[in-house]
Amino acid sequence: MIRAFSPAALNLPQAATDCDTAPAKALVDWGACVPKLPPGSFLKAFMAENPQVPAARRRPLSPHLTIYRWPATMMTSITHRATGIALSVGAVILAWWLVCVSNGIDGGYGTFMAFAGTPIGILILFGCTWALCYHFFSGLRHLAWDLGYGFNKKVAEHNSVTVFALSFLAVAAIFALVWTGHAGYLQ
Amino acid sequence: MRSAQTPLHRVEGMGASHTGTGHFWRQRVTALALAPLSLWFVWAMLGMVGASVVTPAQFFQHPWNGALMAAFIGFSLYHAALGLQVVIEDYVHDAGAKIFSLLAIRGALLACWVVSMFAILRIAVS
Repeated sequence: MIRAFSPAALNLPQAATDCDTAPAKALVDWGACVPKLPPGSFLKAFMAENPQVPAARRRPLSPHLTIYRWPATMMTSITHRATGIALSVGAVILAWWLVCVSNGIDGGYGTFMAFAGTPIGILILFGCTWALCYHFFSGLRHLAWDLGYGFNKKVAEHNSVTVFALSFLAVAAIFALVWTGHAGYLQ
Repeated sequence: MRSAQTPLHRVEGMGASHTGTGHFWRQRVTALALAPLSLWFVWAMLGMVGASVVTPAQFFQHPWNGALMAAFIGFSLYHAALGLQVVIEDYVHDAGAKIFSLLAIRGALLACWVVSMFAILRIAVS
């Protein structure tokens, strides 16, 4: 009865057994298949007496982030999250700026602008601007997905490149306007 | 069919999550509001490049600009709270650390909101 349902009787691949006996033949380096322990350690001695622990340790893991080649959709997904976190920090900087404005003349606005003018300040401003541009275009793509558009694999891959391109174009356009003297029109 | 669910739980139809699509929906509604608001925000910020403190002060004293800025910051921080909550729920698995990080994030964003709103009001009445 039990024999009839064993993997060998059903001609199923015996992953755990293959992993135990012939790790060199495996196509993928499972990593966790072979637990690396210092020789003669207490843990090794203990595990040798407990047949359940080594079996659990040697169970093959499914491939994770480090194994896959990164498709464009994966890149846009993680970048959307990263820019969202960055923009949360940007909101704090914006609050600082507003407080400086509310303080009026000689109330810290000069200090803020002096820091914003340093290379680090410009880098932070550039990063926040790009993050906003990226999160904007990627967010529009998310809203389109919510309406049911663009779920096709080819379309999603293509859109990912478009979102990145648009974000870089937008941030380049914004900084080009500043450096060519087309900004500051509210003065 | 035998079930451990109470009749109320079955009628609510929420399963083990205890909540429905509220979080998802709020994230989308705030995103929809933020799309035009962020365009306005970029336009406003670009217009104040290289200006002294007088320009932004006078700009936000205008009722429309002050209200739009308050809306942009309010929606942004609410959208951020919803988004950062998902990030924490994805990566922080220890129950105590999760509750602490969620409270810390919400507290920080709420403080940021209070400070921003107070600054806008202060500019408006100055």
